[in-house]
Amino acid sequence: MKSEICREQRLAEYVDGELSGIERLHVSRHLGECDACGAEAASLQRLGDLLRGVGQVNIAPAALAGLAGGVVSRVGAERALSWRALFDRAVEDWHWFLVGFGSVAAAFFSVTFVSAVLHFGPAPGREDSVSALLSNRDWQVVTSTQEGSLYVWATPIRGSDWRIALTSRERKEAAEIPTSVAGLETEQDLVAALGDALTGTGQPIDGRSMTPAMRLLTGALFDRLLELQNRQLQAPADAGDMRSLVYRLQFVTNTEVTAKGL
Amino acid sequence: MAVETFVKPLRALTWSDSASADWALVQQCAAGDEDACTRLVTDHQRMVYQLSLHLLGDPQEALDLSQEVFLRVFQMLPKFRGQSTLRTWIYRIVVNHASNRQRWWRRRRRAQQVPLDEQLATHGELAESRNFALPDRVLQQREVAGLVWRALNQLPFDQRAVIVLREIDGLSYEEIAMSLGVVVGTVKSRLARARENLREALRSV
Repeated sequence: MKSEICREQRLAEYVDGELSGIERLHVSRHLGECDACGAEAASLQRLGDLLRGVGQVNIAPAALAGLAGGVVSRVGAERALSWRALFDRAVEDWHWFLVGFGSVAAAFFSVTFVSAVLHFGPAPGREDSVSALLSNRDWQVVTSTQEGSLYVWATPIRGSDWRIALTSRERKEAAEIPTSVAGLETEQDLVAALGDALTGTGQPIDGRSMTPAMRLLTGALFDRLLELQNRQLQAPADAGDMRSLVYRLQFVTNTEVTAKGL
Repeated sequence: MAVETFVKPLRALTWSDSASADWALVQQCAAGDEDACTRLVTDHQRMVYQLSLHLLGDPQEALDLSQEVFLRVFQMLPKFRGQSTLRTWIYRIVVNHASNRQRWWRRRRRAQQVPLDEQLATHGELAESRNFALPDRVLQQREVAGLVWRALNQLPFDQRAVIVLREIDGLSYEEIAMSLGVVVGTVKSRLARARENLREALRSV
């Protein structure tokens, strides 16, 4: 009667040494009891021995003598012919050209980039620059704190030697004009009154040292001067050259930033 | 009945020991170290040539195939991830290339094939013939060897590959499965069919 081992054909695995210890013991016991399986296992074993005996070929030493050298040299030759090797050699021969070309290209792109930034980029703003002082519309905020004013002291280009003070200060709210200013119509009168209101020395003073009455009076005088200056600038050319030469700017702010040297 | 046990010496596969050595060798070869490349070839050339010879049955073809296999090994070396032993990985390349060459050969050059036993007389010799046996004993062994080789050559390539890897190269079922790219069950079934066919062909031996 055929056992489970006979049916499962585990004899090949037994002969091939593929069974675990307990399985091997199990099959080994079975071989002692089953003649058919014993004969089958012996047959498999004989076939294996025959194949191993025949299969072990004594290779002549000369047969493989040049194999390693040939393979390695061919691999080296193939590597030398590879695209990467060709590229490496090309780069090796041309590397100075590549370095020069790279430098020129880098300089070109850098100049192009900087030029583009300067041309299309935003203009740099410095609040203490003259252009910023003259064009910055935010300085009204400073004046509203009673801490800042833009004083422009100037003399006419072809005028007399008296100095005038101009301002382009704008006020958010219309201040009450002192009555003493209302009667002043000429520039000389306004400048004289402004000189009296300030220090009388012709030098601008810090807004913080001014009393509210002085500030109000000075502001009104500047407004009148600006109004008069605007009327003169809009007058016909034959009315005389009333343009002024600005020779000093002083901008008094909370941080006391000063621009000088015009 | 006396209990006859068949104890076959197992080749221990010390993966942890061989893996690091294999990996170091592979890394050196991939880095272009010629000495390491030479060592890889010399360490495996006999194994590759012998398997090629068993699969193709022609020493010259086996030598050509060996060279082709090693070139392929060096091409594929950067892709070796150590999922199997280097030996098993090379076996797989040998079997694939031998299979391709066998198909090509069968179409074009089969008529020119020279039996292996005749080739061995000029390029090598069988192991048994090296002992100091009597001449008639040597003749008998050569006759048996010729029968065995003819029987092997008559097997389908899949069966021949599995029986050679198992019986001659001593690979385990799992290693054979990895070398052939099949599951262990397929190895067992192919092995059973190959043994059956060989026993039928060698009934007279």
